[in-house]
Amino acid sequence: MSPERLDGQRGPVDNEEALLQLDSVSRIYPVTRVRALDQVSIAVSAGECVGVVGESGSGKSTLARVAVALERPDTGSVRFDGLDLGTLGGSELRRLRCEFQLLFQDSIAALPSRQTVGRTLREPLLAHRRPEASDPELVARWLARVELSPELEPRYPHELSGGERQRVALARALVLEPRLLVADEPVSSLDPSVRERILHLLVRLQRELGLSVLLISHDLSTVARMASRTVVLDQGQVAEEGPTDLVLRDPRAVATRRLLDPPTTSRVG
Amino acid sequence: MRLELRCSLALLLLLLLVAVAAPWLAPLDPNQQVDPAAARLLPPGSTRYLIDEGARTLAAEQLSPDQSEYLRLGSWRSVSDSAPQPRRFWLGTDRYGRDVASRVVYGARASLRVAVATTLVSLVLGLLVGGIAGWRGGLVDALLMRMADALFAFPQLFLVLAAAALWSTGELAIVVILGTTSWMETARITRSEILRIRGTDALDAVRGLGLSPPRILTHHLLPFVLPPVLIHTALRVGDIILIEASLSFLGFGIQPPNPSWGNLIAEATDVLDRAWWVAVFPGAALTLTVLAFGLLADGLADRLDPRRQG
Ligand SMILES: Nc1ncnc2c1ncn2[C@@H]1O[C@H](COP(=O)(O)OP(=O)(O)OP(=O)(O)O)[C@@H](O)[C@H]1O
Ligand SMILES: [Mg+2]
Repeated sequence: MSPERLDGQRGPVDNEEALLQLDSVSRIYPVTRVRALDQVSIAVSAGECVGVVGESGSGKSTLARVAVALERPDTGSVRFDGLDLGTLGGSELRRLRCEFQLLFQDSIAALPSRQTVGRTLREPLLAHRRPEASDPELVARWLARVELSPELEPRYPHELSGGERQRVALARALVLEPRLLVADEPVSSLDPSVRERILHLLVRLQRELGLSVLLISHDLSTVARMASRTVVLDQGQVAEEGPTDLVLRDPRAVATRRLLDPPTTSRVG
Repeated sequence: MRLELRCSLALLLLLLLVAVAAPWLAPLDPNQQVDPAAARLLPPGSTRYLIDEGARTLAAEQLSPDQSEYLRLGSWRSVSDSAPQPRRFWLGTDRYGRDVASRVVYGARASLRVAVATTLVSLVLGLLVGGIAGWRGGLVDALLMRMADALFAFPQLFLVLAAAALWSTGELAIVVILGTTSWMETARITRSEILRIRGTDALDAVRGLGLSPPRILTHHLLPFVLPPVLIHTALRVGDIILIEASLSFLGFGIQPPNPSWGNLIAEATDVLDRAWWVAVFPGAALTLTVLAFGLLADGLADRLDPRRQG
């Protein structure tokens, strides 16, 4: 299945200015032989927010992990700022990781259960020997940036609400001041009112910090809030992509229509 | 700090002090035999008058009011040159007329030394083997764990006896032999903890932050691996002291007359029906030590796991 629309304002492939560029990336899990990603190409330019939507199991989390080099693609390449992540050595890659961060789907699983909020936010800076690490105001400042009270500093993850946890995870992903944030379903585990406020926060931070964002969700309306361009994934393949409003207004792929109108459709494509 | 942790640290500190200060604390040389004829198996709290007679130390039951004569074995003799010294045997004496208190105090040295050294050897081996197996996986894991299983299949005492018979005896031998045959459980715990954590988002998250492998190890793996390993290790200290005791009893361990709690208890079994104190005091010291390590493990686990703080 080839993408049905490649006529977005910004062509995703062969864009030399793209900050993140996935070229024909495939990922086949060993053992299960699941083809989680199949020839996926996506580009995110500096300052841009690209949305990725797809049903459960369509390969969104795999895409996120491949994009931040937590997993290697089996074929294809991932380039960040022109550097092929697959060719970098261990310490080069570790240094480059400061530039792109993943916000995990499940914040309770992703935060270190035995470290306080303060420690968690300081840890990346300590590990990279950044001078700010010893700044006493650092934690309070980042908590304020994600609209949390400084009183949360001594708490452990299990002592936080889901929304607070997601904000702490967001703050941790941003303390190294990355240029790209890959957000894997940042709000799907939260209830609607919190969801709205966290999306709001994301939009604000993106603008303030000049972030590029790859926003992943199973929910088109979430993506519509932020993303100028949207990619629809279906069974590991790009089913459709284009400017978000166009995709929403005039969906071409079956997968997109299923996402727009989920109750009446069957799960099998 | 939690009560358990405080109690255990206080106890262990006390034990350490006793072991270090043994020469000053012990009333008598632990190997000195006060003549068994009059000072054999004295119950705790008995007093005897010690008379130095050349190479021997005699014990008298009573002195005459003017201290010129002493009663020994039912008959009065005159005191020749040295003045008799009253000596109270607070914890009694053993069948050779040795002071149980002095032997228990000195026994702390040997027992703790062997226990701590052995524990360190097995801890380091267990963490290394389990860590490598869990982290590398695959063939390395399979090989290391089969090796651990094979060692584990034999009773430890059998392995230790075989090694001791083939190799050598004495303290260093015990530490090496016990240490290299007691790391398997630690390795297994370490491996399973690492396997559990390895695939989690928490670990991927710190990997994604660009942390170096050594930092991930010390800051994000060890805090999870250590509590269960420490609990296990602390509970094993008692076993190790007991195995050391069995070995000493069988003649492979700490060689008599040098005291360890193990060989003190072993030696006491023959006279248990007549002289409970010979076994009970080293036994109590052993129990207290095991308890202290147990409390330490529990206290540490509580402290290292925020979910158990409350
Ligand atoms: N570690 C793994 N080993 C084998 N198969 C996997 C693994 N992780 C994911 N898969 C499979 O790969 C496919 C894509 O999974 P992925 O987690 O990327 O989906 P997703 O779009 O994020 O789903 P969701 O919306 O439920 O989070 C699924 O079929 C899943 O079963
Ligand atoms: Mg997912």
